[in-house]
Amino acid sequence: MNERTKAIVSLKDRLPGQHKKLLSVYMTFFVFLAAEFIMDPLILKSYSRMWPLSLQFAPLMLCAMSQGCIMLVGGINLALGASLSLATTIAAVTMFEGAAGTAGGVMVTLGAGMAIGLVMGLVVTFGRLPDIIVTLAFSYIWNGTALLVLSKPGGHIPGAYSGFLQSGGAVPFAGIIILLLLVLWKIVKNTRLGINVYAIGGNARASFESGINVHLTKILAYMISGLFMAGAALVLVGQTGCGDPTIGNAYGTKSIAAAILGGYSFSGGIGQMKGAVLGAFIYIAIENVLFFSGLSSFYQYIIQGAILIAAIGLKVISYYRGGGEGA
Amino acid sequence: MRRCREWLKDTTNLAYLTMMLVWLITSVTIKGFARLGHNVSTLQTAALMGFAVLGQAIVVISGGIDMSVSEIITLGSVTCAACIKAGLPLPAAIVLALFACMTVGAFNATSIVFLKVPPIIQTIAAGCIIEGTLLVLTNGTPPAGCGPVLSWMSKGKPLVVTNAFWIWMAMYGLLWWLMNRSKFGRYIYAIGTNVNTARNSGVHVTKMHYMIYMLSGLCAGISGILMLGNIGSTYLTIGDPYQLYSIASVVIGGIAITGGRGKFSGVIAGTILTVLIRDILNVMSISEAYRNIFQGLLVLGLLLTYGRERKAG
Repeated sequence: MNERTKAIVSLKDRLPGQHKKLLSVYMTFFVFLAAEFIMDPLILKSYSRMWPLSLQFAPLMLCAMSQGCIMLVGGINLALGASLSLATTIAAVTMFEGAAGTAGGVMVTLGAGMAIGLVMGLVVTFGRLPDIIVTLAFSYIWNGTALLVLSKPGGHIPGAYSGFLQSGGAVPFAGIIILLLLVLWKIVKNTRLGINVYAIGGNARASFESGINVHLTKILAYMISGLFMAGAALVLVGQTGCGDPTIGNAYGTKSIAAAILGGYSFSGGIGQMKGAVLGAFIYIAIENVLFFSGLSSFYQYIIQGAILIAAIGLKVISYYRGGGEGA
Repeated sequence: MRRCREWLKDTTNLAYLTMMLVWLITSVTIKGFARLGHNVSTLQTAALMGFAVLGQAIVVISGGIDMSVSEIITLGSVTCAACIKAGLPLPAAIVLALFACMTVGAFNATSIVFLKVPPIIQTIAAGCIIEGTLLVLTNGTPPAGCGPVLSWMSKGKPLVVTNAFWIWMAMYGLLWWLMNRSKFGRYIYAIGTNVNTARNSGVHVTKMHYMIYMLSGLCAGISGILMLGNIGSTYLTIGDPYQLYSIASVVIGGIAITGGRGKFSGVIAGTILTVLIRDILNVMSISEAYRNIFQGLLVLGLLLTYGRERKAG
């Protein structure tokens, strides 16, 4: 080992644990950040590019955070896409012009998001059923419900709300929401609830034996996940100006890919919110690179699948090569 | 009375009983359901999707899940159509299409075994990759046409019911023997119950995973090819509905979604019952919204009645 690698290794050792785990995510993030700058140099020149950029990245970031909550407790949410569609239709139906009307719609949407999470959480815990199959079944239910609320894209989103999201304020609002949620999660993570979430993801049985209310924690995790999902819906409706009963379909698999890219483990108990945000950034940046290179949009499906497999596979390979450490 | 209750406790028996009851009730109440022609077409629909269900059932019993079934169906039918269009003889086209489908199964098994990718993620990813590849290769419009022989193989009726149904029955018989009378089947149940125990007792888990997922690919491929024969052409979303249908049929047939439990023979009842329910929903001409909700609720309800995990803690 020469001097230079020694220096890097000692730097790695000095990093706090939570950053050390995300080291590869950080590195990938910076690579793709650089790629974004190269492809779109305007970002550096014009501050106003921040609004469209934050709108492009925010929905998937919030979806990845939502997926991350479920993955932390050892599950997976296949209904995320459908519930996202449902939340956009609810937002489009309940928002009215004026500050009070908009705020009311936002509150109803966030409440609906939590209710969606609550229902799925209740069925998963009290039905003693695996998350995968319950959320798969619920994806059909939310799909149908979204079609009931709005049978085709429509509804009404106040122009002032969309305008504010797209270009209002001193700093891009969508970015603020994500920062706020990250801070909020940082606080929640250190409360008893946050610690319990990580504990039951790591080993539900042991957590139960140590007196943690596994059912309640899991339901709360589902509700927080629903809240993040509703946040994504609120950003999306601001972007499109309407509710759309099929808009979420694209986000289901993407959110899983983004969360895994961000360092979440499928077996639960491992992963950090900021990882989800970075994972979503990396995912969209990869898509941007492909778009920039002029490939047909059909390739995005292949890339989606390849990312899913590679993100997990590389982790497993590095686990073996590192002699079973890390990962 | 007690024996009767014991008999009903078996989820497979329950599935067959429900199937008979639903069939009787619909035959009496819905006009046209009792006709022979309608029953034949119900069985044909069941057979076409039934192959995929057979494969899905084996994967589920082994403790996995195959979400790529829908795309493999599409892959099978599009590959077969493309080979026929290219002028290959029918047997070669079928073999090539099945080979493509089994390759996907082998790919799934490779990732699951060596990269430790969870089956659900791997099969979703494989589905995405197939979908993208087919879009790129066909540019969105797959080749059409299948020729009279394949058409006859699928919907010809020399023996009352369609040929596809008889092929399905033959395939079912073969797989039933494999699952219930051979070492292969015992090993699959062992893996589904506890993969580590199975490995430690000398089951070659890697080899078994390859066989399980390639078999699932093969079954879904047959579904795709016969669907091509049935409608005479194909399209890139031909397999889409069967992702939920195949899993729902397995669950309705009484096979535990957590793996290792449930009789393989339940798949026939599960498949036919799924088709009957779909037909009822179609006849009632309710909107797509309610149909989606109903299908989701149905799967959930069935899971809650007999698919529950043993109580933890």
